Amino acid sequence: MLAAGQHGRPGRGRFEGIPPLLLRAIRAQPSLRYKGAYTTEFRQGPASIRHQEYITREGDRYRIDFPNDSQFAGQVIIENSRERLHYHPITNEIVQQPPRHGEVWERIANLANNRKFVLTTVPGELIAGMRTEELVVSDRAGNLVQRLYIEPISGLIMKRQLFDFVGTQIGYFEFTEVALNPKIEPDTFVIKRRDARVITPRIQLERLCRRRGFHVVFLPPSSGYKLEGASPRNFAGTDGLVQSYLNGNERLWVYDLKGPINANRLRQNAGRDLHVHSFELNGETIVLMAKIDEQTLARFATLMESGTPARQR
Amino acid sequence: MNGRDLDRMNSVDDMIESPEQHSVRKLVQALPEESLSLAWRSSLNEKLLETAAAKKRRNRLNWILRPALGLGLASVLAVIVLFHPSQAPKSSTPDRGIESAIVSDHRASVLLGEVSSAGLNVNEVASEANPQEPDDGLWTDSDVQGL
Repeated sequence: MLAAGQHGRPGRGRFEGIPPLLLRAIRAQPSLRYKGAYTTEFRQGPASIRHQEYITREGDRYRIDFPNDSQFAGQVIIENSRERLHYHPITNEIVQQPPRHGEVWERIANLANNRKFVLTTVPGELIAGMRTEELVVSDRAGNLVQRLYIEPISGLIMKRQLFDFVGTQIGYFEFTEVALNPKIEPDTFVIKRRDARVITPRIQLERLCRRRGFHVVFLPPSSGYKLEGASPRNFAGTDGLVQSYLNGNERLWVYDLKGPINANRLRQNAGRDLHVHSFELNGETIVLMAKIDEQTLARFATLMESGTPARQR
Repeated sequence: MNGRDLDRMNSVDDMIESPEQHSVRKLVQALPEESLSLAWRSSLNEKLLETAAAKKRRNRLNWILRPALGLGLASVLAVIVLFHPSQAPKSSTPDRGIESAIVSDHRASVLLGEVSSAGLNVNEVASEANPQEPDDGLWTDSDVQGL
């Protein structure tokens, strides 16, 4: 994200025609240095989940901590250009994940280059004691898509709101305090915990599959995609698992379902930009979903089938 | 033979010998005698042979075509029964909303991923990916305070 985590190294040339305020924010990314606290809220189903995080950032290095009264107290996340390490004190484990760098600012830049959207700049609110300018992203019909509040001198995004198709806020983050250019100790971006077990998202996936009674099916790293995480879901009464993968800035999702689906209906629902490939394995329905062509998804499906242990098939 | 029978025979003889019968006999005898011509017999034989040969050919063709036709009909029937092209698996899965639920979940994940960025994302916040089962070997703040 360009604020709570303003990632990556913006390139040149492809940002022509985007508002100067956003351009400044994108160009500021590699040199941003700050400490701060922000509130994040997600709407999931009928409920809203809100929590607070502390962030320390120096260029493409991040550290996230949590307040003592938070349900996530003691967890630490460190991210650099190579990896993301997430320490869980309760299990004394460090989860090694692919970094999410670059993902978010690139999507914001894509919004600016997409003719479906219109970006306008208006004076913003005072946030965490700082003056901001507001970048409003709407569609051609004037429906609100996003609001970004940017501190114009540093280019730091102080607040970001996202809206659904009918204009309801579905998520936001907002700084409650921030210090620009503070002194940051070098060991801030290191996790030192000698007896902690370093585990991978694959191990987490295997645990989740065991608990939920799923076969362990995953996309092998030979695809170029690395597993980032997995979580259980219920889709209209059907139990499922969602696995998310990252390949640089490209994302891919794998849905593992304990029930059949109608592939044509799913394809219709997904629309033109999002591609889908589904198959059955061990009595479960596996769906691959990404913005990459269906032939590649079919090839990945073959990799998944061949990577599933024989005893499961 | 009694007398009555003798009388009847005499009357029949009289009828045969009557002048009317004589004139008819003469008329019949005067008719020219016709004998069957050889050419007609030959053409009749040829026609009979041709008819027989055609019938043989038809029988042979029927012997081949009838089983082939039967086999063809059986094959078509088998294809219809086995593959039943009218029953494409279009509506094999009823619409329970699972497909739209998957796509909605996907869209929400993409959007909410932008809110979190470097921090916890919505899956990490709300799921079992954030384990709650303690590891006994880990010390806590209270252990440190007790030192």
